[in-house]
Amino acid sequence: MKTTDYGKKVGQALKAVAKMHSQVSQLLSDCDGLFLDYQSVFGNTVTGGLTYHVKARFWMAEGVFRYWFKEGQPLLGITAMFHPWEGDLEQPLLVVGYIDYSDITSQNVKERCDGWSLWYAVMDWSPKPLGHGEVIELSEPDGMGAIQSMKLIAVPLFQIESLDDVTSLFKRLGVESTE
Amino acid sequence: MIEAELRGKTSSELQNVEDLLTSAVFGLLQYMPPKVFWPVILTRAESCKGKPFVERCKELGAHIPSYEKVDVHFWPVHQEFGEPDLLLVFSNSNQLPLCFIIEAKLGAAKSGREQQDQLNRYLAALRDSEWLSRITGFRRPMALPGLIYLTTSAAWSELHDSIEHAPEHLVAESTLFLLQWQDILEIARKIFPHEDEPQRKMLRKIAAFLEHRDLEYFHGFTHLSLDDDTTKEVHFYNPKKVVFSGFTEIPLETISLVEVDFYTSKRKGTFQGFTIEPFEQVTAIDTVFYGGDQ
Repeated sequence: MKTTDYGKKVGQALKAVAKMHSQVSQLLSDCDGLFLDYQSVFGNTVTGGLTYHVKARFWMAEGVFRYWFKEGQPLLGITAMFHPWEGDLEQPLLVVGYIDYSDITSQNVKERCDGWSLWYAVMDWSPKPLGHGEVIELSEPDGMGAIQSMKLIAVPLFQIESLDDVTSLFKRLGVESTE
Repeated sequence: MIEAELRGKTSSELQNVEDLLTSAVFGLLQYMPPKVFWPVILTRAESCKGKPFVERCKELGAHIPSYEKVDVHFWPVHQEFGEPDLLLVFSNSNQLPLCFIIEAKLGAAKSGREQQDQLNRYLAALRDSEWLSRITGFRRPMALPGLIYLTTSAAWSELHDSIEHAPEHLVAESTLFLLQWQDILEIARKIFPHEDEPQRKMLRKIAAFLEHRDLEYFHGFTHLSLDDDTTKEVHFYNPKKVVFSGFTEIPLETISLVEVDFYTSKRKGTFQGFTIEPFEQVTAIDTVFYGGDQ
């Protein structure tokens, strides 16, 4: 057995991660107030893809998302990307976007909307290198025609200081908050 | 309840029980005189049209700071319309008593759909003067501004839904208000230093409790210090213990004896020790945990 301080550093890092989770939770909840007549697509569920299984590469959420829907409007969404367990991300990002799905209604929105759409947009569909703070427009990005177009903007998560910052990002996409 | 939770003597499951949260916070707030806390917090409650609850009260001739007494009735049962969480009555000798309902949630959505909508049922209960008399003891007319929906997030869509399914949309629109637990924390935290005892102590306790529950608005991220102070003790809390009996200190030397929880595929399925990443060279970790470019 070796003597090492590595565990203490990991312990501190995990503590920082837990704090980040709790503050992202506050941020996502507060974002509900930005769009008063929209509904949360996935209720209070904000992540997926986690396992309880003993055979696992990770047990921590890679990211969390929240989407809002209003009949006849593009879907609005926000995603906090913590760390991809496949691929690379230099630091956690906050992604704000709107997605124009073809043929989406209040009846089918939960099935049609993929909670990881903004994640895929950053990791797979956007041109690289990804410019932080740049508005990115994508046309039929999924290659399957489910999404007609989407517009998004990604910034380092820790640059966000208040809900106003998120409002400004939406504004840059042409989306006005209705609060 | 508050003391037990703040000192870790309650189980984590209890923290998800909304009735306990309501009981803990309003159990103290019921002793707050009308002049203290209430006028400020009731300004935060707003209708879908952005009208503050206190404005609605004023329209009905009720000026909150001029009342002398607050009575909070917990979970009053109405045989037909159900059981709202709180019925509050502000009174004095020369003003119409002010009576309204608070329905509190902790993460869950309102119950009942369409005609059975929970908020609309409680608005109907408020119109039942006989029920009000029985619960409050007042046999005279009262100012009835409506219902405050107290939630952990901005549940405007739920309020819109109630308005849509209300028998009278315009009435529901002007009598349903939204308030968040986070508002209670903010106001309590802001005003307690300026209040006299015992209100000061009670507000401070409420603020500490809601803070402990993380029921606060987002105000930016905390940048925790990740210095190399390896002399600090590491404390582990075992949440499975219902009764908290202090922190267990595990000597760090023994951590590496704990059965493995990290699997690294690079090792072809057999655990061969933990991988040590050179922290100082991992710029991503530096950025995240040390605040990076700040």
